[in-house]
Amino acid sequence: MEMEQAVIETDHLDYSFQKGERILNDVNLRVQQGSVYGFLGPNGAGKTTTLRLLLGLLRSENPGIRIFGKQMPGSRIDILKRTGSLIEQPSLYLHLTGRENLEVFRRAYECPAARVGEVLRITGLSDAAHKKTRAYSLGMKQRLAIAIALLHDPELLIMDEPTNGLDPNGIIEIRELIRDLNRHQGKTVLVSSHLLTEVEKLATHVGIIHQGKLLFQGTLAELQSFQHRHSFLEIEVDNVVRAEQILSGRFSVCIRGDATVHVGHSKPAEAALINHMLVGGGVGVSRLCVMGNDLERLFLDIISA
Amino acid sequence: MKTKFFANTTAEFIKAKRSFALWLTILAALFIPAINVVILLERPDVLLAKFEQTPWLTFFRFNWKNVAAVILPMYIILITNLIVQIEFRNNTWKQVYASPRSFADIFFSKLVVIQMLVPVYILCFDGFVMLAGLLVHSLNPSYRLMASSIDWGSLLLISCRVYLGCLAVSVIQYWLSLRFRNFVIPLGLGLGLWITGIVLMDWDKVIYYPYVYSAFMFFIDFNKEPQQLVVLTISSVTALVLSTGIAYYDIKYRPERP
Repeated sequence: MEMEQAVIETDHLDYSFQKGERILNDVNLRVQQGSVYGFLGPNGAGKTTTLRLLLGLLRSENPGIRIFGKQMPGSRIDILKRTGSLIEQPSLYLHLTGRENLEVFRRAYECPAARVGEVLRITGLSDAAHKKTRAYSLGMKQRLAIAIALLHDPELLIMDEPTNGLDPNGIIEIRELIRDLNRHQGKTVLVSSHLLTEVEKLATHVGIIHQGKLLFQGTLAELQSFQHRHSFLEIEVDNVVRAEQILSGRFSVCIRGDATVHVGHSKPAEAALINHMLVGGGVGVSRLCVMGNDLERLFLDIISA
Repeated sequence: MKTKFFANTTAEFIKAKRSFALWLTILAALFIPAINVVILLERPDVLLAKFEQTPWLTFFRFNWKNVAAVILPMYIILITNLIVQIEFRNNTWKQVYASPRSFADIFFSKLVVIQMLVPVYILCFDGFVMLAGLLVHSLNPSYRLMASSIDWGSLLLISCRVYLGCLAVSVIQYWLSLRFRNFVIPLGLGLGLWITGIVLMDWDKVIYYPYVYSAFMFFIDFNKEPQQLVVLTISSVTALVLSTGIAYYDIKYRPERP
């Protein structure tokens, strides 16, 4: 398969605010063109620091960051002309209306005045454009922040926890908007979150960061396959010693108590085979359950490994 | 490049819209003339004699003495803080720095807004002084302000000299306001530096201290000491250039954008 072109690449990215305290450690991020890259990690993992470095908000002499094939911070302005961003909570002038907020940034992005109306329509804020943003709900503020990020029709969107603090309805709205921007407008999206369920519903690619280290990076399908490799069967049997004898030739078996064994397996179909082998060998099986089969648990396993 | 800087400067003016900046400018400009109207009308017995020779010049100096020494430095400390705090309060610095603007564009477009507001303040103040003079004369014609022509030349000269004297302070205060997220710090530092200037007034090296320049520009009698005007002008311009250079360098090379 042909390798997709990377929009963002980091080469052994390290960063520390103070000497001896490493916030990022050898992060090799690769965000492919046209993807929605879910940048996942618990709070304090280094997600925001990474995104701030990508946008040139943190100074680093030679961080090894390439966006659109250009070096950051060397080509900062060229990169930012093609990048829209939303870092942490929405950055809005609360004493100004939605339209005035867009007017302020429209000048910075040098885009035509008509673009303001377009992004208001895309984000569903046309009716609230003349209201002061102080009166906006958090969801509306978040949508206006996305409208600002879209003003110059960027190829790349970098969003830090865009659904943070939103109610379920707001979360769905933002998710739909990001999905639409990716599928119908072809934008590459790098979105960070500390919620796996969020990333799972949105992303095509996933990067998992913990304590400044990128522990996993790949497609969502690769993450799911990784998950199967890490799941096991918990089986309740009437004879644990006999069960171990039957299965240990082909599978890894661990006796857990008088009537329970844990059996490692790599794909769901093997559960039937294991059951067949046990019953065929004269072992009574009273319960067979797949454990560690949810991404949430896998996420916790990855970050606590 | 020039067009972009102009566009971004207009954006900075949009940001100042509906903020307290305009009200602060008008109220600060009105404060001293309003008080002086009351003083002049209440104490003609003491003040009339002073206004006999050159009524308008005396009236201008009567108003400007408080502004040059106290109100203008206070106004500069407050207005720079207020303009910069718009970004901190709304958490918008990161969005500003994540937009395709050069650091010079970001730094100077906001500085231009401040440098426009200070002359607007001075113009408003001069306007209010004129109106106050007319009001005083209409309520107590003994002051004879209308009997003589308005001394525009002296008013312009005082205004320009004091403005030149306060330029470096406006840049230093802008730098402090950019440096600290907590608005109390630049406010406290500004007040501290200004008070220090008052304490140091008699020090022989005080010419190196920009916070006294606007007061000196007003209080020194340049007819008697013309060389002092040259020294103060050179000091004011040097302090302006140095403070702008240092402030820009420091802000550009800060490790972290706010």
